[in-house]
Amino acid sequence: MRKQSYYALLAGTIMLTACAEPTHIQPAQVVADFENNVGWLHGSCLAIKNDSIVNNTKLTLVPLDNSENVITARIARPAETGKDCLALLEDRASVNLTNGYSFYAINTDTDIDLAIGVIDMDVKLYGFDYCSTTEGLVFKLTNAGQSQALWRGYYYLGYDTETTCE
Amino acid sequence: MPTNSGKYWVSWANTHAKNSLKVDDLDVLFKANVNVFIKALTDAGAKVVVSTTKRSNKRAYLFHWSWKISQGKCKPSDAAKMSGVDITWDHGELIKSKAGALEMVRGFGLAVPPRSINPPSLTSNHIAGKAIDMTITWTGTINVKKKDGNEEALTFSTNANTNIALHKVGEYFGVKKLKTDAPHWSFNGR
Repeated sequence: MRKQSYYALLAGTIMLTACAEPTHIQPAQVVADFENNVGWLHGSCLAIKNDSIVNNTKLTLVPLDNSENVITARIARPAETGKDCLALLEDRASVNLTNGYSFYAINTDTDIDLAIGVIDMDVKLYGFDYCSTTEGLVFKLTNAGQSQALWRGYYYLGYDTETTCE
Repeated sequence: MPTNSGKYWVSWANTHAKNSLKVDDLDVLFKANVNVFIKALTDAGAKVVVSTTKRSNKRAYLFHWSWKISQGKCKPSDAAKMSGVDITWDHGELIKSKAGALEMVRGFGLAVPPRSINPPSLTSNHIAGKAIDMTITWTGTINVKKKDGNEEALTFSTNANTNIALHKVGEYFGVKKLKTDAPHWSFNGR
């Protein structure tokens, strides 16, 4: 008996739901996982605090030259040495590794110097910037038109230069 | 016999003009402070990994002029000479001089940020032996013993730039933190 009542109730519910006016459900506010999905590049190598990105994952690259261009790339393989990755050259590898980054060689048709790379994110929603520190670069991602950083990445270059970071 | 700028100099620098990882290569006064600071930290249970101490002035010279010439920030003939580095920056044709310099920029992996006017420096606390890059880690809270026997409690933070208590202890030992670059400490905080 109980089971029959349950099925009757379920069927009623399905019918009511099917006949009801569609409601406009607001999508849940999605908080992007910046730490796992945003990284920086020097040359064809992505540094990101995510050690489980699989080969052929699609990336969107934003070069830091104020151009409107974005570049599509794909993860080629994990990078382990300076031959694959400028951030792993001898003078800078230990600090960049200690900072918790994983490194990936990427495939792209375009030459890249410095860029920010994102996975599964709409780059139009965000602003991208960088500044120089005494020994490296700080990359920054903000909401478009805003200055507060949602994500920062530090690239230790292993040589001295003039700082432009405030 | 002078050798034209180009990738030869990358190999040369990686053999003859390497940066040091040794605390012993630091300036005498700063070295003494660094040694005491590192000992206090390790005695308290911290792990200290040194990544650079004294940087080669010859390496810095090659970085500086290759960057400037390749980016058109100076004429090849403007490059200063350096004793012990018999390089010819000016190949006689600008396009060849810039190409030689660019081979070096690429070989050294120098960053060329857009709009940047700042080449790698010729002088720095590292080149003077008065700076050290090191990563200091520990678990939880440690008590670092000072010279007077008092202890300072330090709680670990993943961002060394914001760990003010650690900076204060370093300063007590004469090793000052530069707050923009996580591994960088020096005699004057720059």
